[in-house]
Amino acid sequence: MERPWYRRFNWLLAVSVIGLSLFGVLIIHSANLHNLDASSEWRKQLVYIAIGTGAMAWFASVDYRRWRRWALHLYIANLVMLGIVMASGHAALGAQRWISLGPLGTFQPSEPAKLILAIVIASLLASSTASGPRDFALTVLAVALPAGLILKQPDLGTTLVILAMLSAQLFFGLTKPWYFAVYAAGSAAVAAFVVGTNVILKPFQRSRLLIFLHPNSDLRGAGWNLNQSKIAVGSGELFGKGLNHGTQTQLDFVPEHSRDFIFTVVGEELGYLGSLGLVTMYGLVLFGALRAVFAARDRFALLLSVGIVTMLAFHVTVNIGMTVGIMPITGIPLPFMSYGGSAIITDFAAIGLLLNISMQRDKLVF
Amino acid sequence: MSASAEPRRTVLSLRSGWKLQLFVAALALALIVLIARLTQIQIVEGPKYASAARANQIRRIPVAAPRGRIYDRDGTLLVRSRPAFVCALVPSEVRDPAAMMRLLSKTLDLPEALLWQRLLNHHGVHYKTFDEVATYEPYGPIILASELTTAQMARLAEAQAELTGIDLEAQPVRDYPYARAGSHIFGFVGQITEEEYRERKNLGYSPNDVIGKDGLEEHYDDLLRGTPGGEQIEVDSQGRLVRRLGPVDPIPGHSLILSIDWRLQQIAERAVNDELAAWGRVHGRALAGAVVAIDPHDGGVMAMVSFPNFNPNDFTNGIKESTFKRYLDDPLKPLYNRAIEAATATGSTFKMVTGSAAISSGVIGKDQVLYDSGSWACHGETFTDIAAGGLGSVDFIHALAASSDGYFYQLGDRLGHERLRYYALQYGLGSKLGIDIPGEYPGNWPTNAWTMKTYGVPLQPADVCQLAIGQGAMQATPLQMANVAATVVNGGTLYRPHLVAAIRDATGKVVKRFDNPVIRHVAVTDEALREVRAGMDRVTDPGGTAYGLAVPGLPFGGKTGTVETDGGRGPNTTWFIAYAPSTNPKFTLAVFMERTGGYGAEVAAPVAQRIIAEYFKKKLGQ
Repeated sequence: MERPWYRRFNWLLAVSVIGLSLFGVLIIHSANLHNLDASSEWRKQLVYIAIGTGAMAWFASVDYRRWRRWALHLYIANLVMLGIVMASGHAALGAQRWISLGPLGTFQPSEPAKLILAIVIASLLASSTASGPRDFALTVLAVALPAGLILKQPDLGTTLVILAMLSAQLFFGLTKPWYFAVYAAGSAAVAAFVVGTNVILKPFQRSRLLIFLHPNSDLRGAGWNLNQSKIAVGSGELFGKGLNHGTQTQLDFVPEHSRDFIFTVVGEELGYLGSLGLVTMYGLVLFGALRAVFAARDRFALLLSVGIVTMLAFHVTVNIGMTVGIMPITGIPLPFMSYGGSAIITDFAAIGLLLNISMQRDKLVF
Repeated sequence: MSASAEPRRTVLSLRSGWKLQLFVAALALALIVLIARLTQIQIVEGPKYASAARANQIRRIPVAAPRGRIYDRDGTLLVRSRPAFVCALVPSEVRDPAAMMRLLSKTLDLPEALLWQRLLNHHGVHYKTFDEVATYEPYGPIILASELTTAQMARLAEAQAELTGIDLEAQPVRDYPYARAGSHIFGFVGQITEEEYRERKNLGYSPNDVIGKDGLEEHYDDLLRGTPGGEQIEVDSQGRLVRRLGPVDPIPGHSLILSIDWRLQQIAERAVNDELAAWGRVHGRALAGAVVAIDPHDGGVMAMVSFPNFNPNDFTNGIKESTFKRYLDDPLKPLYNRAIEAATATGSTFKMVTGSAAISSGVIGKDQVLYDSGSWACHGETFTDIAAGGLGSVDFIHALAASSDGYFYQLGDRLGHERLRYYALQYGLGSKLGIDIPGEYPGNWPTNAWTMKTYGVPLQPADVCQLAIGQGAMQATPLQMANVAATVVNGGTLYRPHLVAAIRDATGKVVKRFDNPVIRHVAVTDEALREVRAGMDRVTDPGGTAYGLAVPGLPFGGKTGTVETDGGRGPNTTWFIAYAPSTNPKFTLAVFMERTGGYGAEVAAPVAQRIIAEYFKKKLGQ
């Protein structure tokens, strides 16, 4: 017998992401206290959260299996959007990442691309119980095209997120472990080539990527952001300097502090306790998300939820990791915290998908 | 093919398998690594990063301390700092530099091009654009106009509302009320150059400092400069001013109390100036000279004059290029302090040394009579008196008063090179005395090695007779000769001559008193010095070389000297060394008249006579 939806609903996951995003608004407000150009960001973020919550509710109510049927359409739509970015997207921060929506602002197709690819990969690997070399090759090729377009923008961070999802989904989807071993070895070789040469990455991306290994080099150039970011987080010490009182944040020593570097505001103004609190919140979100993985009642659901959990975990780890110098600076946002509509709506939608998966646990399978 | 058709078993087996455990473990590990790193950065290394964050945001706008004052031995104020109003610009607060400079040009009534020139070129750095200035010196302040007139200040105050980023500031400016008098003693001040800043930045100097560039200003800069104050400001990552955190008051520099007797200094300045002008008219060219007066009882310098001189006020607000060029192009080099830097042969004034050496070492007795034929064959070379004829048989005192070369050639011959050099060096010749201003020249006493290097031949035995009368390759400065006289007068103590007697802090408390350092007690006998003084006391007597130059009512001792230049073809350099009064002398004098022509008695001695007469308020009968 099916229990009522509110009994089956994954409240922990839904409530923790809404709480996290509202906490994020507070931090964005503090981050932009002295930045008149961005003083309305926190209000806009509230609107995005509202839209995102609506998207989450809608995705939670739509049977996840429908996405598997729509996978090809979504994939093509995604390629078209990325193509438009390539052709006409205007330059922002030296990167072609946005499509202008006129008065509605801008839209960043690489954000939903992550979710769409999670769906596409899951459906490709779910279609056979065997998941042999043919599925493997098809999946890698299917991912390579949009990932290549995103890398070209250039958006290295999102490309890496997609590769992380692909890896996790292949890990679960490939039935024979040695298939995955081949994939892992191949990826390692490609990664070495990409990081070691200027063929794929632009020199500034490489220096940004590798600077965390040499934290004291080039403090006025590539090392500046990392150094200032570490000073910000470290100087928060145990209790922090108080909300709105971080000198590194308020005096603009840390760049992009309402976006990619938002964690530095938490670290500096709320200190170690605030940082621990935030990491714990993400722990709760991941715990809630894992419930969907455990609840998955078919291969598609399992692979899709693994993809989404990987996406969230990768974002959190790499983003926070970069602000404290243990991950390369790749420029990916902190989920539910960083300012940005495309990202926040995509993240909420992804949680909606997980909510649907975990709600269908009790459903009878025919 | 539909997902629901899959056997549930497959999913379950996947879910419960090792893959899922590994996945969960990886997620947990990522969070644990983050927490570990946060613990390291925020707790373990937190204090380090906290101080780095503070260093990021706090800057100081230096406010110069007024430099210490300089007084003479009686408390006469010689050098001070007076407040002057300057118009300063803080680059980070200026929004539209072009409009600002236009308005400022109108307000101050100064050409816009001049203001731009000052904005872009200061402290030895040359910028191309305003943006560069704002980037490298965001809070300046950059002085665009100094020494504002009352009218300029009034207009500036009126326009203040429109002139954001422009400050009217009071700044201490060095002021030398006596202008050219004593210029070589004081030196001058100027903006620190990039190179000077690099050398001194560890000593608390900042790139905007005004520092002493010569004279006492340079030597005592660390004491005179005081401790700059400053305004603590908080800046953002672009160096823009965020908030003022309150001022730190500057501590004014220490004051110097000199051994200089300003009355004597001024008398000496006038005497030298007038004499040089008079002889200059005779020769139809400008002339140079110097006077040093030393207190024989402690080595304190009581007067130091060098002509031509300069006006240190020319340097205080950044010297004009044309003025500086005039100083540099003047063939007589007004910036050059002849009192301590000019070294020539001393002529017969050196007989003080030769005479006391001869008696002290016993090569002649007291009252020794020698036959002066007007020349002397010295190691195969015959030297003839510069003045014609010999004195015949003459004793030491009369030989010295009359400056008999024939007599002193024989003393040189008897002493020999080694002994003569020993006494010359004992008296402080050939080495720096260590006076407390920069640029002192050690002079020279020729050694075998030196003549080999310079002339390619060894020191000749006959040279000793030349050196004994202060000719040849020996060189001494006016300071050294005044100090030799002081040693003769005080019984053989060679003091380190010094200009500063005491140092007081801004509240007037004496922080340091100079203990009249003794370089050495010269190895001469009292008897020898008495004989030398007796000879010098008779210099103005009949038969003395300065006969007719006595000061009525104030007997003084002296010794003339005349030096040929350019191998006898150039105009003579003339010297006169004196001490006055002859009993219990108050000071010794060295008068040095560079290439004036004539003889010591004609050119240099009258300067000393006038200084002594005026200082002791005696009338010269003429």
